[in-house]
Amino acid sequence: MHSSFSEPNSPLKEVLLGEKWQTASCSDIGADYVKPGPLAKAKFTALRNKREAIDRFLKKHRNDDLGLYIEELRDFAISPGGLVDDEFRAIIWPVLSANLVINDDLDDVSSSYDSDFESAQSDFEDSPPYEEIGELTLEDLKGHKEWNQVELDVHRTLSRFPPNISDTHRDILQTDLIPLIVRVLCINPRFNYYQGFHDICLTVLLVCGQQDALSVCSNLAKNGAFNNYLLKTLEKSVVRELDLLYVILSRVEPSLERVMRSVELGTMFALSWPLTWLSHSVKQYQQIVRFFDVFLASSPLLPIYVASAVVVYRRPSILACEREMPFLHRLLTEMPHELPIDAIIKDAVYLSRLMPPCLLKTKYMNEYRKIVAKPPRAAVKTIPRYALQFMFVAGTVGAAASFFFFKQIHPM
Amino acid sequence: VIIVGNAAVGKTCLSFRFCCGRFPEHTEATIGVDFRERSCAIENELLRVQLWDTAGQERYRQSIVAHYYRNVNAVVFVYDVTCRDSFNDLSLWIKECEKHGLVSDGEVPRILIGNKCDVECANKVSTDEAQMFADRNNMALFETSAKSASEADHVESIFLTLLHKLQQSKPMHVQSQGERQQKEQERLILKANEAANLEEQGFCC
Repeated sequence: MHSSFSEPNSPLKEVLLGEKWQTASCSDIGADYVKPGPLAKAKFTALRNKREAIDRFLKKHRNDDLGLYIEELRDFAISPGGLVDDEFRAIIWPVLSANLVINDDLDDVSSSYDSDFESAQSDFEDSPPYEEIGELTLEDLKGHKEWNQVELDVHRTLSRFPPNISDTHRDILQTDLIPLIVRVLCINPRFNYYQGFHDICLTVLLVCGQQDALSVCSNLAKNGAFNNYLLKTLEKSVVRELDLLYVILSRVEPSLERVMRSVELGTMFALSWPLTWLSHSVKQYQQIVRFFDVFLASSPLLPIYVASAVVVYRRPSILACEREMPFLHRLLTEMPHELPIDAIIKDAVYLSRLMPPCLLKTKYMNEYRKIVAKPPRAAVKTIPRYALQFMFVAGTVGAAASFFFFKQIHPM
Repeated sequence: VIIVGNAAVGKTCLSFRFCCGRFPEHTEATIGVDFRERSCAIENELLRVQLWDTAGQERYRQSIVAHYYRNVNAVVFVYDVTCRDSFNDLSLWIKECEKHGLVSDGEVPRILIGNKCDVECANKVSTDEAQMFADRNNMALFETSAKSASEADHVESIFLTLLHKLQQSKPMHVQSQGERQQKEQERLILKANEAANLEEQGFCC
C-alpha cells in the first residue's frame, strides 16, 4: 500500500476512458496509507513537499524549453523520492532521454580495456545514418526478423502490469508494445533485440504513452546504455560491465567479494539488472519507475553501481547463505520485496563519485586483476566499511531530513 | 541438470511444475539463468536435484548459458510440439552441448521433452518424427504438458526417470564435487522423511 504513491499515467486515458486516468498521487493518499510512526510521516511529508516543488517548477517553466533546465530535472530525478508522480515522469522522461548523460570517458566499457581492437573498430562503423522510423507500416514491422521473438516476450509480460490496469487496457498496451519495440529496432539495421529490452520499452510505455515512448526508447537505444547491448554481443557489452561489479566490491566489501569469488558465482545473477534497468527483478511498479528516474539522469554505468549497492545491502544474507554457487545465485537473483531504494540509490551515486567509471575501468580493474592473479592477501586500500554503512543509515533515517532541507531551498 | 531449448517452449514452466508442483501463473522471458531445486528420495537415497533453467534466445546461448554447462549431470532438451522451429533447432542445441563435452555416448544422460502436447494444432511435430530424432541422438523422448493437470504426474515421472538414470550412472559421485555432495547427502538423509512427506503432496521444500 505504501508503494502506490502514483499509478501509471497511461496513454489510454483519452482513448478508452474519456477522462483523466486516475492517478493516486501522494497528495490523494489519506492518513491510513501511511504506516504509523514519525519516520513514515516525515517521509510522507517530504514526498509531498517534493511533489509540490516539481509541480511549481513545471508550472513556472510551462512555456520554456525544459532541456535548458536539465540539471534541475536531473536533481529532481536523483534526489530521494525521484520524480514522485507518473504525471511528472511523463513530462520529464522525454526531456531526460533527449539529454542523456554520455559516458565521461568518451569510450565505452568494452573497448576501453579491450585489447583486441575488433570491438573498437566496430564502434566506428556504428554510426550509419539512423533511419527515419516514423514511416514504417505495420506490415513492414511484421517483416522484421525479430518480430516473432518480441511478440513471444511481450505476450509473457502479464505480471509486469500494475494491478490497477484492466485486462482490456492491458491488451491494448501489449498490442501497442510490439510495434513500438520493433520500430526502435528498425532505427539501426544492426540492432539485435535481446530478451529484456521489452521490459524497458514496457516501462516507458506505461509511463509516457505511445507517442513519447517511441522517442524515449529510441533515444535510449541510440545514445544510452542499451546501444551497446543492442549492437554488440552480450559478452562484449553487459558482461564486461558486470565484471566491474567485482572491482567495486573488492574495494568496498573485500570479504564479500572473496566469498563470491571463492564459489565462482560469476555475474549472471545480476545479468538482468543492467539489461532491464532492474525492471525484470524488482516487482513493485513504483520501485521500477524510481530506478528509471535515476538511470535516465545518470551515467550509463550507474546500474552497475546500483547492483553493487544492492549486493552490499544484502551482505548479511550472503554471508549467511550456503557457500555454494547455486544457492548464492538464487539468493541474489531474487530481489527482496522491501528494498530501501533511496538508500541504495544514494549509495550507488556515492560509489560512482568515489570510483568514477574511467578509473574503475582502467586503474582499479588492473589492480583487481592483480588481486585475482595472486590469491593470497592483497594490499589494496579499501574504503572503510563504515563509510558505506553510514550512507545506509543516512539513507533510511535521513531521507526525510534531506527533504526538509530541500524544501528550504525551494520555499513555498 | 540443465534445461535448454528455444525461447518460449516452456522450459520455465516445466521446471516450475517439477520443483513447485504447479503450473506458474505468469511466466516471463527468462533472462540469463534461473535456479530451482528439489529433493527427491530415490531407492532410499536422497537426491538433491538442481535445475538450471536457461534463457532460450540465441543471444544468451553462447558464453552466458555456457557458463552453466560445467558440472552438469544431465541435460533436458525441450521443444514445443506446436512449433516446428523449436524442434528443428534441437540439433543446434545438441551441438552446443557437445561443444561443452556433453556428448551422446558420454556419462551424462540426456532426455528430450516435447512440451505443450495439450494444445491442438494443425502443424504439430509428430511423435514418430520426434522419436526418430531422439533415437538418432540416443535420447529418451517424452511428450507432455507442463500446463494440463492430467499430465502433472507425467512431468514428475519424466524427471524421476531421469534421476534413476542419473543414479545408475552416478557420474556426480566421481566428479570433482563428489565428496562434497556425498557429505551433503548424509546430512540430507536425516531430513529424508520430512522431504518425502512433502513430495507426496507435490510441493518442494
